Amino acid sequence: MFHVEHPEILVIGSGHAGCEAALASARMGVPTWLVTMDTHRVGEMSCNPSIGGVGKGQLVREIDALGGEMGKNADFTGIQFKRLNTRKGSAVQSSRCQSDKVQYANRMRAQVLLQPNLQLVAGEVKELLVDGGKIIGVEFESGGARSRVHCRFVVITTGTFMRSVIYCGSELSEGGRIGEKSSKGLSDCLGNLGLQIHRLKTGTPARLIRESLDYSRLNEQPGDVIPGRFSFSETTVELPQVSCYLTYTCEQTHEVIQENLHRSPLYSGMIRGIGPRYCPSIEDKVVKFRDKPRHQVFLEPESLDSNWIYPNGISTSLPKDVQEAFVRTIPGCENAVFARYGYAVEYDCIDPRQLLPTLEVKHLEGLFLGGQVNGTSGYEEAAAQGFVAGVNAALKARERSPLILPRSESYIGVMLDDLTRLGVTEPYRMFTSRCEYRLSVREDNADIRLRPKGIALGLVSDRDKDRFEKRLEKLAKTSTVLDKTYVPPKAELNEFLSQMGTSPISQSTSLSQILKRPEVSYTDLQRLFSEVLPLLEENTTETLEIEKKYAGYIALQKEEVERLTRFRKITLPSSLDYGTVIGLSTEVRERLSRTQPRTLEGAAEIQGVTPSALSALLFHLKRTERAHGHKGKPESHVES
Amino acid sequence: MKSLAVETHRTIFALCTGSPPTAVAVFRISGPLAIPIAERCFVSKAKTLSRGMYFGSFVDAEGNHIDTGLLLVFTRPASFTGEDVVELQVHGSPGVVTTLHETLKFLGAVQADAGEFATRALANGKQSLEGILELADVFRTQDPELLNAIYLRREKTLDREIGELREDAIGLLAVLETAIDFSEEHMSAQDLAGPKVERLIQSADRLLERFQLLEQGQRPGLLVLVGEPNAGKSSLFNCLLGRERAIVSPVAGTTRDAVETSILLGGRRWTLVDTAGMRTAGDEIERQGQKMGVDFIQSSDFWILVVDGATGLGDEMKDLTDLHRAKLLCAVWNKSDQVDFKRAPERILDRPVLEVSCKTGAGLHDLVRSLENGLRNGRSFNARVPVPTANQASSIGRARNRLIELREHLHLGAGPEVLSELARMAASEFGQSLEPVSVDEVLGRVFSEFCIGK
Repeated sequence: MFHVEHPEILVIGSGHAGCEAALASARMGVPTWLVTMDTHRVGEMSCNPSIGGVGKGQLVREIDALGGEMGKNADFTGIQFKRLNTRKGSAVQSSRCQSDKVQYANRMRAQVLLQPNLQLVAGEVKELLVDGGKIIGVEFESGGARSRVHCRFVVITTGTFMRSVIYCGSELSEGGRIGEKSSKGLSDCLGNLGLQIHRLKTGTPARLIRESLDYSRLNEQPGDVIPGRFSFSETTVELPQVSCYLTYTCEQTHEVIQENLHRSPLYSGMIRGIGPRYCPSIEDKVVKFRDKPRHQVFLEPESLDSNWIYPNGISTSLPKDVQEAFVRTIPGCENAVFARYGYAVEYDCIDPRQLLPTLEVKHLEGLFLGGQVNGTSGYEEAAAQGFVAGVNAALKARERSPLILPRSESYIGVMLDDLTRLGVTEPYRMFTSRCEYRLSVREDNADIRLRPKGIALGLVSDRDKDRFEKRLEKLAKTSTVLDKTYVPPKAELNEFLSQMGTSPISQSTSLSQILKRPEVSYTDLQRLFSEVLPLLEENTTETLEIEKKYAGYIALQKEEVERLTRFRKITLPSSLDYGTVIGLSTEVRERLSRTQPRTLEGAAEIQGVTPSALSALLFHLKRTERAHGHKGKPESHVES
Repeated sequence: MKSLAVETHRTIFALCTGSPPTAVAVFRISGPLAIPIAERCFVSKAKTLSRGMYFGSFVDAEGNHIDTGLLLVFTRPASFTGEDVVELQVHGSPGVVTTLHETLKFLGAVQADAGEFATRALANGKQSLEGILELADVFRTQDPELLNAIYLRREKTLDREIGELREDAIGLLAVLETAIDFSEEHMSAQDLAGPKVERLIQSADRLLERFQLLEQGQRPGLLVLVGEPNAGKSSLFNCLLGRERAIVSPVAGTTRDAVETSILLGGRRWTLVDTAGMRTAGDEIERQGQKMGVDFIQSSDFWILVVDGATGLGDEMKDLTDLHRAKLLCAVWNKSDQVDFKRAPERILDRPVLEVSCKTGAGLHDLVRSLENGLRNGRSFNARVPVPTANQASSIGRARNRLIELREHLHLGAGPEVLSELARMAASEFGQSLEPVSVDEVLGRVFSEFCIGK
């Protein structure tokens, strides 16, 4: 009955993480099952109908460069594209699109169904079968019948579905999304297998009916005239492009919310899970930013085939009547008809510090976890982890060395390192500020950073590989030409420079030097020096410009990161007797002796170890080094 | 307490008092052999030495009498260094000091390195790092008022002040990060950066100014006598010096040549310079000397205008005075004994004018009182606020440089991702022990100051 009868890898959950995991492992030639409670719900966008954004766009591009599906899927189903940070902050430019969420899910489901080696299976996994610290299979329930499936690897990508509870005012129901089931049993099973479980919370706003909104009172927000693309492969934007609309809450809105705060499960104490600070509910915003007279509300179309509108900015768990009352105070929404009410969802997730950077559970071989179940938030964060988990399961199945992405090379690497090393206290979302190398780790060069890895994994087509190699070659060639071509201060050039609002040159100058000026673009230079400079694709122009213009800052950033890394990597000898370190409290001494951190950074991560305790440790190290007369190994050298 | 991994097996000693002859000389010994060594070179009624004070004779290794004196024994750990410490108090004769020094060395004590006692105190937990730094600054302090500003560090208000600067820098960083990560919701976030940078630079400057005062207070102030040839600068110099010599004993080695001397005025040590001494006969050299006079005014803390009361203030000197009015302490109308002496104006540029005769000594007493008052009141620092340590000042200085750079880039229209690199470096300089700024600190500020999210 199944075209894949004996899976080696079984992926549980068919959201953004699950799809990437299953597609990657199947494409790497490993027979895979994708088990979901509802086969009609594949690649579903549970919340806002958009992909990308600042920090997240970088993740999408990285998944794409490595050979994942999300970027292509977003390109083919996007109904509005926007490049963010284009005017200021070109090194942190990010892409975002509004997606047709129906088309997005349809296309993703098609990818899954048509993928050789991959079987979509309806069912609910009730238990993991473990023998000798290794996964040997699962027990699952399908159509009321229980059965066992043997497999060596399981990837759990269950999102918000483990023991999830939905709150809407004082009404509560079980379910990972409204109208869907909650997965029971699995989180108990994980708990029994020694995984730490904690509880997080997230929420979503109501959905409104397009025809009930008064568009004359709304501010149109069109996308970019020329839609950008996520994927490094050849993709087309096929769907008609549409606008979003902007409106604001007003004082009346805030009054209604204030008066009904006691009816919010967040404020009445019903919800204990920790919600994300960057994605507060409207009741949170009203309470915490009392002085702000209004908050933005973006009205985003969910699909060309539906008249549902996603009002971005007013996620809530207030009761239905309050939701109606406050929404109808918002200009343009006076007669809003509700397609669905907003709600909060509380769910189980695991402590990601129990995972290796490959996303395999440290103490349970063959079990991988990816996505929101690891305490993250966002489609892109989920997809990236799903991809890494699926790839690593497949690599392990074929006894190949794992895919580990360093922090210095990718946002995905930053996320995995943060998650597995530091854990989470609130749903983890990507921000560019988390990436210390962000001037060199950018959207435009995600392929340069990661395509070679994707090629090695076997997830990049020959055609794409060829495309990539040509781009690299062009980049290198043009960069050399720019560096080596010196131009004299001719009238034509200087005239152009003054036109651009920058000073003329007085002596022979390299084209690179001229391009460094913020006022000068490659396109301009190319027009002036077309005999030496080639016409380039937009993406290549962008990479070239940023590399030249930001060269100094990129070096500065590298230097600063290295300085901090040196500080963090100062080793603490295992023979260190914390009893002899002066200036530590007894409590801190005990903790350090118990934990025996290997580095100063490790020590800093221990609770209660304050900066002054670190100073004391540093001082102790320097002094003992002096006393022992050796100059100190390179790794324990400290700059002051 | 367990033994430490520092070299504590050596027993060290040092002469703690000034170079002989002095009334009393004190040697201090610290280390495991301090008491056995003392027992070999000191004879008294006591059979063994325990914690306490003893009177007796100091003898050399052969038992020959060196001197009679006091021995103080501090048994560990209740001592300055935390080790056994012995203090030997003898007469400060060069012969006694030399013989005792040789004896201690012969008995196995090792001459201490500079700061070694303090280092041991630190290693043994008897002194905190802050305590040692405080001691070092106290040692160098010339200006008594400065002591208070150093001791005020103990109240930790400075740590708080620097901590606040760090917080402000993180606030700046949060603004820049918001401009990047939430550019759509907070389009004007970057505009908030300008005033924040300004405020940070100003605060850093204030702290650095205070540190400069510490540095100033650790060297003698420079007080310069300036006037036309023959106004009587050298006579005044000698008068002030004579008075000084009469009331305090000279400090050897502080006076380098005849035109510069060290005097105590208004509770602080000053280097008094007679610019007249700079020149000899000859026009060219004279002009040079005058130029040097101006250089001296510029590097001085205060200067005194000396005027020949018989001829009055010349135009050239008037211009010079006007130009350097800020540091002018007072004016001296010299030669009040002469018949053609013209009465002085009451004030010049709002500074007091004193009539004096260096020849007869008339008016000198009033001059000294006026100088002392002027120097006390003219003190530009506030002894009621703590001064930063050298370490603190240098990291504040580095942070300030980053902020200046940031301000320039901001004016040039640089993107927030570039500015934030500089802000992050500044913030980490304001931290303790190069403490890196964590993402959580920044995000915490972003979320608390900006309303963000869908």
